Amino acid sequence: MREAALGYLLILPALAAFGVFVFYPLVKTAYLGFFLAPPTPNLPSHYVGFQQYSQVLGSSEFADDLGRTVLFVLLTVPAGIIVGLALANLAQKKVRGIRAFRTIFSSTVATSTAVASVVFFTLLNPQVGLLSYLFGKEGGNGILQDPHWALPAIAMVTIWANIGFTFILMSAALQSLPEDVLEASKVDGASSSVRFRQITLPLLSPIIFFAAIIGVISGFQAFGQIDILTQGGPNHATLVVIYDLYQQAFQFNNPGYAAVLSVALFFILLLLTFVQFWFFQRRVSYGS
Amino acid sequence: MSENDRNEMLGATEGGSGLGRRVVSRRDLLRGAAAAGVGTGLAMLAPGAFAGAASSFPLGAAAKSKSKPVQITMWHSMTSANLPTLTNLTNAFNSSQSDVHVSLVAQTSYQDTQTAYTTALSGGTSALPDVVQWESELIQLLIDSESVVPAASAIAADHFSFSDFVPSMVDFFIVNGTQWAMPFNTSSQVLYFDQNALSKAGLDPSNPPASLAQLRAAAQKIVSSGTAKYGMSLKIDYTNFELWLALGGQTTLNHANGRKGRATAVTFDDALGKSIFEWWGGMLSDNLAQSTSFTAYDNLLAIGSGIAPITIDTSASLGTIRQVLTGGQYPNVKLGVAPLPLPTAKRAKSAGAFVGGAGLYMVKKSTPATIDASWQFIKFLVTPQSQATWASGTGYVPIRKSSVNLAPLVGTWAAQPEFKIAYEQLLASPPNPATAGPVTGAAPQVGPVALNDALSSLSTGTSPSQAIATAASAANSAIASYNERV
Repeated sequence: MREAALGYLLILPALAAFGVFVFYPLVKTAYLGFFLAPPTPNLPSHYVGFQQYSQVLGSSEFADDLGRTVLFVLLTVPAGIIVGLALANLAQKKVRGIRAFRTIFSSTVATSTAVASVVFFTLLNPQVGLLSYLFGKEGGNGILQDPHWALPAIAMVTIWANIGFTFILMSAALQSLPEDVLEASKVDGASSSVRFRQITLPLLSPIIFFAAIIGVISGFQAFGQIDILTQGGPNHATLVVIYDLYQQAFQFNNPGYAAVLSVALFFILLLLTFVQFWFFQRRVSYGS
Repeated sequence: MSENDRNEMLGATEGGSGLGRRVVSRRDLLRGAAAAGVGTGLAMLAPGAFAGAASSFPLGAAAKSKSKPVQITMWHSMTSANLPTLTNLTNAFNSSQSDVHVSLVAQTSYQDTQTAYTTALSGGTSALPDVVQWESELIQLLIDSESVVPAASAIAADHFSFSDFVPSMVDFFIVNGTQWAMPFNTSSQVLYFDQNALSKAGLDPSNPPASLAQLRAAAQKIVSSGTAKYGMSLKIDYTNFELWLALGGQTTLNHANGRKGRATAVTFDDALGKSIFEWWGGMLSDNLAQSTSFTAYDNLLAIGSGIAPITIDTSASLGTIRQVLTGGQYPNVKLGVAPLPLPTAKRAKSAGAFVGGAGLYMVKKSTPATIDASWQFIKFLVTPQSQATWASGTGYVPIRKSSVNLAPLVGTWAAQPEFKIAYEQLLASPPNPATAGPVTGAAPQVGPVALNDALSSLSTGTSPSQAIATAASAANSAIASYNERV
């Protein structure tokens, strides 16, 4: 009994911090969604109950936002993991100068989203950009101004910016694989592709699972690259839920609308994380 | 000036039942304005609106304050070359008298100012500045916030005269007959071109395109002569479209551009608006113009790189553009500047450009002394001399007519006559609702979202009539949503 009390006492500071910075804003945000917010916070707001929730979440704008967000996650997460895993696999090879390659592969972890975005903003510029020139897009509509290519382009920047993180995760996991199992399979005559599929991949499944969850969450929250590269345009092509939320709250001065989007985003991520847990739990091997 | 003229000036175009009542109050306004000895046009009508409130403005409170100097802060959004000019002016004010001391707080952009200001409003007035430099098109948001003292009350109390001001610059800040802010840093859109490229294409650079039809013809010549890949860059910028409406004598919004009662719908999808969209779409589909991003300077870079030698952008960028284009990196480019081409062959009598930039607002907070101190500082920033210094240092357009005869502006303009173009364009605007410019709380959605989306969709094959209809419906629902929340 006294021990339990001491335990609670010890987690109290953390709980207080969480309460002030996470739980209170969470509840407050959900509460804000019940009000038609005035353009500035010093004016009275009107209580509308669930009307705003149903209006916003039932709108075609929200469905479009969500569709683009899911597409963005599908474009970034699997490709990001595959590229990271492939590079990590390459970096396991014992060749001269492998350290230099490892440093290069992991270097984007030290690159902020803003820096990566500005670099690609210049590369993709239709007047002076190198990539625009290579894709035959110089002059006229640039890649970022083309509604069909803007979202894939942002996905590409995101994958590139995340390579370092995924690479480090995968490298660490590969290095911690049990040598004996791999050696035993080698002795048994398994080809390298069989070894990779039958042994390495299952052993890596916890880390892939982790990377997938982190990737999905950060994909749903991707903001910096969109803000810097396209601001949700052209013609809504890159308007994902989080960017719509930002515009509603800070540019259109409609925090009530933004609160609804924020609550929706929270539940979507919660649900997705549960689904991922359920899905991967049957396939992830944590060893014995 | 007859009563009818005045009604026209105020944009009594809808007629309707409320008119008779309004005329009576307008007479009162006129009486107040006449007493204040105020200038021409709409500006003349405005200050009177607060004639009654004049006595409530604490004029002279700063000088009578017990603890001097009265400390005030001003939030601004000036960066690069504009910042030192503002700092110097502020220092000059601080050392010129001992009643008031101003501290400047940089907010880096109008968007940041807006965010910081609305955030500060949620915690009472203590975190607010005393003076705020606020983007002109966001005026309705600040009016609705009920957090600013209308400039009109100080103007009336101080018998401040606007006879020396450029009317179109003052008119922007008058909503429902009340002047809310003092214009400060003002600009307009102008035509930029490479004189050498025009000559090469067989065009006369001293006689640049003056109408949209001429602009198209010039672009055709540039392309067909092989001078450049495109005739011009069309930046996806709603401001150009709204200015073309004004230069054709048309409003963007109903209720006289939102100046006689809150705007409830757009009017930009009229015949003129449609013809401008047709022109824009035709320029793109015929490969005479390239579409460039709203947030980047691709259109200006394209002049340097020779991809498209003509474009339209704000006069506020002129200093930077000159620096880049004349810096030696583009030795073959000779910059030319001209007024924004008209949407029609001939200028309508009521047509003219409205102003862009920002105004200075007094924040409704704390003591009479700080409010009066704010007014004293604002007055200092718009003296003819301050405006001459300001315009010369920044490239903004001076808001006072006498500033153009004062040093250092005289010298700057003599050496770089391009800087005069935007001033002359705004000076030529007759006072009416179209040239006052559109006002709505939903401004961040009407222009940057609804109109820019539609203009950007023109580059991917959407028909101009479809694009403008989509823009109008998106803008109307944004306006309705804003009005519902106020």
